[in-house]
Amino acid sequence: MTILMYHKVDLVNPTMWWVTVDQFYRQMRELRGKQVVYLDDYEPRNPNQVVITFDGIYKNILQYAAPILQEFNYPFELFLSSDFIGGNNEFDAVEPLADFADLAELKKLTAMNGRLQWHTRSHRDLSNEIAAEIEIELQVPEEIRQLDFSGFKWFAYPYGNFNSDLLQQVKNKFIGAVSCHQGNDIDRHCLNRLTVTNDTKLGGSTIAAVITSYNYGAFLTEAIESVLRQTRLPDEILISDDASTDDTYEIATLYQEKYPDLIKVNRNEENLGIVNHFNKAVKLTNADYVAILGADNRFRSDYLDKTSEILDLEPEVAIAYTDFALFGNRAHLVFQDFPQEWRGEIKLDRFFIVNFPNFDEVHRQYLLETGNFIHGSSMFRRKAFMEVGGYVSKSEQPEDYGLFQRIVKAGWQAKRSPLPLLEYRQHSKYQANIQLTSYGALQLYKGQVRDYQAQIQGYQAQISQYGLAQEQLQKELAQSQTELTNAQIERQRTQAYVQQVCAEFDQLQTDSHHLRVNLSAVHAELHAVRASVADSHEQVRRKQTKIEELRTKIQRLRVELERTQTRLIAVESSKFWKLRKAWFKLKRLFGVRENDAFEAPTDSLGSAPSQEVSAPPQPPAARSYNPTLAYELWMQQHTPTAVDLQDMANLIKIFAKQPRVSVVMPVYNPTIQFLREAIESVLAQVYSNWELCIADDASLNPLVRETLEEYANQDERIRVVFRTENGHISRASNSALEVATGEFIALLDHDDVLAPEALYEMVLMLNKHPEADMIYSDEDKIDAENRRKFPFFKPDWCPDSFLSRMYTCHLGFYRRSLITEIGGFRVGFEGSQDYDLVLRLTEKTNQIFHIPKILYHWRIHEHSASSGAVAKPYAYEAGQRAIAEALERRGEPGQVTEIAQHRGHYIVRYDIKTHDLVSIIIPTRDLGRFLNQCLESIFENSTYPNYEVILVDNGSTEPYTEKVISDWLNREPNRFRCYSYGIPFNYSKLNNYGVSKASGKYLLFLNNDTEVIAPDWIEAMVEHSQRSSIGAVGARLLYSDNTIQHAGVILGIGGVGGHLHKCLDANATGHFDRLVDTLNYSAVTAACLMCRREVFEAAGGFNEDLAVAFNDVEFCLKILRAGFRNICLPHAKLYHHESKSRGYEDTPEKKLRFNGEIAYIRDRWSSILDHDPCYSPHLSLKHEEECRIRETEESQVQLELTIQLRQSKNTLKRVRDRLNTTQEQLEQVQGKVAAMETSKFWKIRQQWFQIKQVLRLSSSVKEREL
Amino acid sequence: MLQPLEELENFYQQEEDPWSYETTPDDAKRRSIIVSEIPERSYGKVLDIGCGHGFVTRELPGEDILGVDISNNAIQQAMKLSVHQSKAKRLRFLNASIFELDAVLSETYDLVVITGVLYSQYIGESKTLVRQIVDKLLNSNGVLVCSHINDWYSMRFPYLLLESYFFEYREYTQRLEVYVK
Repeated sequence: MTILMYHKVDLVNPTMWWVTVDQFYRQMRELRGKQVVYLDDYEPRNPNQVVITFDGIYKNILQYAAPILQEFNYPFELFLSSDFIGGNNEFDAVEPLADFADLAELKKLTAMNGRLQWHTRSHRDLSNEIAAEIEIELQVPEEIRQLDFSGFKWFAYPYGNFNSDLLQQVKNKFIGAVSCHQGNDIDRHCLNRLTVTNDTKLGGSTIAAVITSYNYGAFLTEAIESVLRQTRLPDEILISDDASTDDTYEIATLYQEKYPDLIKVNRNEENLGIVNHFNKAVKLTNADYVAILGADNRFRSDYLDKTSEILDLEPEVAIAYTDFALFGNRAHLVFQDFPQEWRGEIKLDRFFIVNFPNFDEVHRQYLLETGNFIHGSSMFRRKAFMEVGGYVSKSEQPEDYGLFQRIVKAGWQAKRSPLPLLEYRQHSKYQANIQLTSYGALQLYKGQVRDYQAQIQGYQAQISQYGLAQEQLQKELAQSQTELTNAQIERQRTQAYVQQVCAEFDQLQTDSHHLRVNLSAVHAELHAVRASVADSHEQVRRKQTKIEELRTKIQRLRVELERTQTRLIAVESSKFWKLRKAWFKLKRLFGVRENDAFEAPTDSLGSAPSQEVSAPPQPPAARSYNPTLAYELWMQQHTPTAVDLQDMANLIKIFAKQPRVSVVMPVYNPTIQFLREAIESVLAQVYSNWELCIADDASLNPLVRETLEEYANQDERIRVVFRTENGHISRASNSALEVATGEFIALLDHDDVLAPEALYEMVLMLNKHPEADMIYSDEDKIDAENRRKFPFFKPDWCPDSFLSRMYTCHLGFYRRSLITEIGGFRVGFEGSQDYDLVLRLTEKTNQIFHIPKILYHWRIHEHSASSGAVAKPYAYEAGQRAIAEALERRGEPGQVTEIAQHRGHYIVRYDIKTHDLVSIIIPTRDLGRFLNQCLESIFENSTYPNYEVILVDNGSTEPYTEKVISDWLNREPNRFRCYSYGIPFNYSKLNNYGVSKASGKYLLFLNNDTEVIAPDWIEAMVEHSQRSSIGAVGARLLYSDNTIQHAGVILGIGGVGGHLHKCLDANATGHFDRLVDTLNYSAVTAACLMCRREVFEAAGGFNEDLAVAFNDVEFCLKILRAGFRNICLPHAKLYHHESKSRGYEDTPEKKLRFNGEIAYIRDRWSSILDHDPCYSPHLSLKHEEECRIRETEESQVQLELTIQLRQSKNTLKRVRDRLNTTQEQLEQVQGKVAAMETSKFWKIRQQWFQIKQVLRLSSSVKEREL
Repeated sequence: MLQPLEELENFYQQEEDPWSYETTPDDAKRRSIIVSEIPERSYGKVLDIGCGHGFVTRELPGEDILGVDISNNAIQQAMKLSVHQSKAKRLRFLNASIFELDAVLSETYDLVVITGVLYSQYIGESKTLVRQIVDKLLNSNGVLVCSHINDWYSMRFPYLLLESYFFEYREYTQRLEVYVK
């Protein structure tokens, strides 16, 4: 099938026409399974036949190829060009010089199974030659023919070229001929040949050598080297490490790096044991034959060559086994264990050769029945291995024996190579030849080091090359560096600037995002208001149209009525009617009785049209405040419409934070309808990431469970815990908390209602203030008919106000981690459990935010706590305890009292720690009577043990005043001092001056027209003033007529600040009982104001730019800014004998100054003045006497429209009534007319007329007759 | 590539001891190690292939020691130097290439020594042939001693490996192999 063509075989291969000895050997070996024949015996169609041919013939064929061909015992063909015998190839300038064989050498080749054939004389290309020349070239000289009598029957075309003439001539002279590529594989006179080069592979089998190691690292290099130096290299080497703990894997990978194409490494992460390990290793290779070498043994260098030869030559053999030579320090002992007949030669007392039996039939049986003589490193065919399923684990039999037995049983043969090809180490494991083996390993590592060193040298050379360039570059570099440094400085400056700009930009973006969110909300509100206004307009217009229509109708009716009336009058005034009356009289006279029902018409036939009806609607009279109406209006403006809710739902999508909210609802015996409404209000939330955690506290009504289960089935966000026993609200709430998973908790009572936007608003706030730990909203009440009323508009977080009442209440929204931290609700505080919770929670955080929107509707009905304090009296006692414990926890001990008549409202009286000196500072000028009254009341009434009075006299001139002062200096020489300070009036300067003269820890600023009512007023103020969190403490001031002059300042009233509930009766309780509470105010009047000296200094005292007005408000604002809270006490009571009608702006220049001071203060404090955190933005700033709902521009229009609408409705009603009356009247009259017309009398009247007519006729006839 | 014979001849033409074997301590050490690693027994015929100027040859055991080298100049030098040796009469030298040996030598040997020869600059890619030739020259039970710079040497003879021994030599490592056939 294949004819190989060689030219030169030598030690090296300078061109493709040369094949090295080793490669030639390899190629010959690859032909081992083939039948190598002479051309005479060649059958082109036999796939197993090969012919080896050489052209030339070169000397090196004899020297290098022939010995190898002899070793394999291959015949070969030598195509000889006779002109070159004994010469060289110098004619071929391209090729390296090479000698041709001489005649003697050719003869030697024929003696080595070489057969000479003809390749022309001169090696000319005969395809271009004439027949005669060809004839000469084809002629084999006789002396040449003498060299080989069996040869010269075959011809090789020079350069492989031929034509038909040549072919014909060749056919005449030779039995066959070979070409290179012009011919074919079949035709005997132009057979192609394969040009063999160094790399040509001639097929043949492939071998895998598998080196297995389990902690044989010490021997591994020897084993690997023995494989790498095989005379026949394997096609693949697998080093397989069965989870060794020594350096096996390291050595293996180093070798793999050296021979990446040849060596593969497998490492088992866990020790698999021999069977699994070997099976895995074999499967990781692909070659036809496999030989496994334990890492402690060595292959003799011809191991693979000899064993594979057996398998190559004998296809029925699956196992090629060998003898082995034992070595190592236990070799001689082991050797003695082998049967005598197997013990072979001992070489130099070092190698003990074991000669195993040949695989004859006897030993085949021996293997199958008695014992093994095929060692585990024997080469086997993969095919056979796979056929029998590889190694199998059997306890009674070594794995290799089992494998070989099964292969033999399967019908395969085994064959022995009778050579000690395996060097089989016998060692006790701990006596490894350490010196040798470690030296072997050392060589490996040293080689590695040298590789690295070579690399380093390479790099160093490069470095030195770069050296010169570098010097030059360095100069440039130095220059560049200077420039760079400058540039860097500039860059840093720019970067800082950019960073600053970026930070500002980020802040702006954050702000703008919040603003956008806010703006959207505001837009939505505005839209709603506008829509509502437009709607109201439309309603009014429709009503008025209707009124017009009705008026027209009335008009028509009236015309008809008049007509009818006229007719009636006409009838009544008719002669006949008169006659009728006469007739009746006559009848009465004659006693005639009629049965005819005849009712005398009445006189009441309608009244004159009302002026009012036709009059146009009157403009509304001066409006009086109607809280119900105001709240209705407020709701119209502030309740989101369906469109608004949709907008909110869309807005949620841009929220960065959308935490899960757990709505916690304890349930106990609710009214089912209200319970449903409560749950439905959660289901209706615009914000959807909520869960409703319900804990039923063992309600008695089975419908409760049914209802809750119904909802739980309906929505998976609803989870219900059914408590097995009633535990009251704290335990029930905690049960609900236990199943809550949200980031925040919202508390909902079982009969209350959430506004649909409630959770949305809470989450919106969270997006503005992610730090928020607690958020609360405003709330109102909802009655059993779902009418909303009593809105409670709350201030922002006021910790002291919170100690007077639970005002944050609903809707409360709390960070769950904090609730968990404080342990949830406390048992024993039922009824005020939420008050207690917030008290404790607000001790953990100050991130508390308020949403001034009504998001919660608190149900009032006969059973609810909100309908009155009597509902759950135990609750208020619990509240009292909750506060008392809070005071203890906070280290500010005091007494808590519930305020009489005001359940749920408390007053805290702190213990005074030390009665430090109080300096009462009173600026004064004249008005001696007031001054005297003031001083008298202080010194006579005050019970505080340690105070002084500093009078700052701003130029009093009245003798009486001087007398008062000198009297008091005499009466109170220790506690009273007076300093004259004759400056133009400047209240701030006077007070600041007073402070400079005062020595008290507490400063109490007091007006000279005050009069002490409560003897413990100083104690009350010190109680608060001593607290480190408190700044200004104000007092309750009354006008002389026992109405309120000051109960705290609300910022924004009158532009800067004003007194709420001014002029209310001293006993009035105010808006939501605020007058009985101790509340934080942003500011209090300095007519009576106490603060610690440090607070005064922190605030920087009174602002002397503000001479008259608002210096106290500004002082309080500075105190707020310094981080203190201000407070006003209802029980520190004094008179302030100020004229109610007194105003600052009573002259043009005072007005000017007053306005100037307003502008001054608004300029500096506008943001807080527009939103007093201690007040609600929904409450009016226009009315001091009462808390009204604040009116916006829209709300005024709205209010007017609403009033118009109501008037129109009333008018319409009246018009309708009148219409009905008129219609009734008409019907009455019509009825009467009809009755008259059908009466007997009417009939008689007609007869009478007829008679009259007859009589007239007859009389006229008579007259005519006459 | 193969080193041309002329170059070798030139070396020996210019220098009596071109690789300074005689004066380098590492070579004295090399020689003493090689000699001491030859298994102790009696050797009749001994062959030193690539003997150079006979630096190792002179110290080998054996009754009849033949040194062969491809360089004629080396052989001339070896003969000159061995004249003064006490065992000069046992030493013979022959100018021949390793690839000619099976042709020029008809005898077989108890000990064959090959030191610093089997590098590709001398034998190209012909390990198979070298093995074949050596095998023809070595008696059964004969000993083969090979000592080469490890990095340049990749042969392994198909005999039982008695010893595989490494030692430091100049800036290299020598691999000493002792086989028994």
